Formats: sequence, structure tokens, C-alpha cells
Amino acid sequence: MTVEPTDEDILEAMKAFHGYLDITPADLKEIYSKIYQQALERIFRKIKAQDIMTQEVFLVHPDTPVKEVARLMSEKMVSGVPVVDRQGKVTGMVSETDFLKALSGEETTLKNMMGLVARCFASEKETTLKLLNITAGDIMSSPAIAVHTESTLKEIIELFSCHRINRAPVIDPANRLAGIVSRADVIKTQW
Amino acid sequence: MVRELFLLKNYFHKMKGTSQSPPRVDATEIFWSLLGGCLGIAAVAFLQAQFFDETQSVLVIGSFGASAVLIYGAIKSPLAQPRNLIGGHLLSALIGVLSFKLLHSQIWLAAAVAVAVSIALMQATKTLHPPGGATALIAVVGGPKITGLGFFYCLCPVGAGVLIMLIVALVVNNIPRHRKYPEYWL
Repeated sequence: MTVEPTDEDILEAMKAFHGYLDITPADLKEIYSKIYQQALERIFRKIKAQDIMTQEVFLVHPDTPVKEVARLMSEKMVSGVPVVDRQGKVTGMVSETDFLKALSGEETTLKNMMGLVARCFASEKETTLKLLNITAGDIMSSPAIAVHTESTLKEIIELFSCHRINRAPVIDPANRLAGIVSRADVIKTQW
Repeated sequence: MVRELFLLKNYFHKMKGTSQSPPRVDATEIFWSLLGGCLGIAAVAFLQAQFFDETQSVLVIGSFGASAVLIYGAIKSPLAQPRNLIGGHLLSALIGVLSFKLLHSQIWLAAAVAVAVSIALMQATKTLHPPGGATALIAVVGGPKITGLGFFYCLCPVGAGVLIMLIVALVVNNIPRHRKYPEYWL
């Protein structure tokens, strides 16, 4: 992430500074950019997943029926939940995207929720019938793309960007679920 | 060949300049710079007129004019801080006198060595003060009245003059609310 000031920004800042500044606007701009980048890197390295994660996690098990998963996600207003086995290990994630994939079947893949709505209107059969007898373990994305409690903000952002995901379960050194970190948590982070 | 042409083009391109000049300072800044410059030079010139004119000594040298630009007109610049003002002038004066003593048979060489070594030494000691170059040069080409002073040149006019100008800078530059001097001493 970079914030590139314009030449006008630099000149305005120099004007606001009383007295003669012994530096050209171009050099000041270069110095500013380097300082900003350095500060950002430092902050990104300092903040860890455990500092920003949400500890109250709504989770499901591999054998949780999909309709239960849907109800939980709807009630708790979350767009994804981790799937945890009976030993407490994270085995996968179920997100809205996984539901869309499961509902798409062999036909054209549904791209978003409105695609699903359109399918419901067009289809003579009940679209959601496909999901009646399956469980979270059948539709989850596995293995889960997880972060560790000690993962830095920089690593989390890179992971979100690289895998195009919106949340990741946070696992502790014993490989157990410690929380969940989402893009919203990153945005809310106090730098 | 293509690479050489590219390097040559790049070499001349750098001469065009790529940035712009900093903004002009406001009217109050100009006023305080004017007042400081006037009082600083007046102080050394007055003392010269009162106590030195009848002797063979001098108190005012040309490089003080350049120092005045910095310590009254660009007071935030690292080049204008007391460390640089005093250190730069004293080191350069010493190098200037030494150069003259060692190379006075070749004045052109003594002048070049004095200025060049002064620059390097000021950079190495974090006391870079551009008027120091003039102080070193004056020690070599300033004529018999200056060269006759020998190492005393470092104390007077250089040391004494710089000290007077620094006192004026401390007094004048700290009067306005938004101005402060120095940024640091050491």
C-alpha cells in the first residue's frame, strides 16, 4: 500500500511550514514516500493476528447438515464459518462461495447471490433440494487457508489478496482454533 | 553503441533538472531575515569601525555575508546551525592558514587545496557550512593584511566575528512566535 502525494500536496505543506526549507519539493516527496513506506512496514510487522482477530467464532463440524450451516450464517450474519472436527482441528471453511459452488452443480457456475436468485426464478425444480442431505464436510473448502496467532498484519493482507478470500481462521500453536480474522478486522485495526 | 547513446542521453537529460523551486517564504519571514542580516553584519562592522580600523587587524571578512544569508534567512537549514556555523568557519580558517603556510609559493594550488580540503573536512565532521569555503579561500588570497595574521586569523576575525553573528542570531531569530533558532547545538 502506498500513498503518493501530488506535487501540489508537497508545495502546500512546504508553504505551511514557516521559514525557508533547504530542500526541493522532489526530494521532500521522495523522503516522505520512503518514511511512509518504512512506517507502514513497521506497523504491518508489529500487529499480529491475535491482536485483531475476533475471538467469538461461530463454527460448525464436518457432519453439521448444510441447512444448519446456512441457518447459523444467516442468524449470526456472517459470510463464512470454520469447520472444526471433534478434536478441535480446523479442517476447512464454508463460505457463501462454497454454497454457490454446491448449488451450481454441473451447469454454469453461479457467480454471486443474485445469480442464485435468478436461478431460483428460472428453475422449475427447487434449487436448494440439492443441499438437503449433505453436510458441511461435503461443501467446505479444504484444507482451510488459515493464519497463526503470530502471523503479522502484512502476512494476513498478502494471504487475503493472494487467495482472494475475505476471512481466515486463526490457529494457535497447538493447531486449535483461536479466532477468526476478516477483512473488516483489518480495516478496523487501529494503527 | 546503443547503450552508450542511452547513457549519453541520460547524462544530458539530468542537466535539464527535474524538480521545481521551493515556494517563496512569506513577508514576515522576509522581514525577520532582513532585520537579522542587518543587525548581525552591523554588529561586526560597527566593532570593526570602532576598534579595528586604526590597527592592522580586521573583524569583517566577506564570508560573513554568506553566513548571514543562512543564519538569518534559512534558519532551519542544517547548514545554518551553530555546530555548522562555528565548526565550519573555524576548521576552514585553520585549513586556509595551513594551506597558505605550506603552499604559498603556488598561490593557485594553495587556494584550491584550502577550499577542497575544507569541504571534505566539514563533510566528515558534520559541520558543512558553505561560507566556510570562502573563509578558507580568504586565508589564502586575502592579501598581506590577512595572511600576516597567521593562525591568529582563526581567532580574529573568524572566531570573534562568527561568535558575534551567532549571538545576534540567537537574539533576533527567537523574537517572533513562529521562529526558533537553533534547531540543535551539537
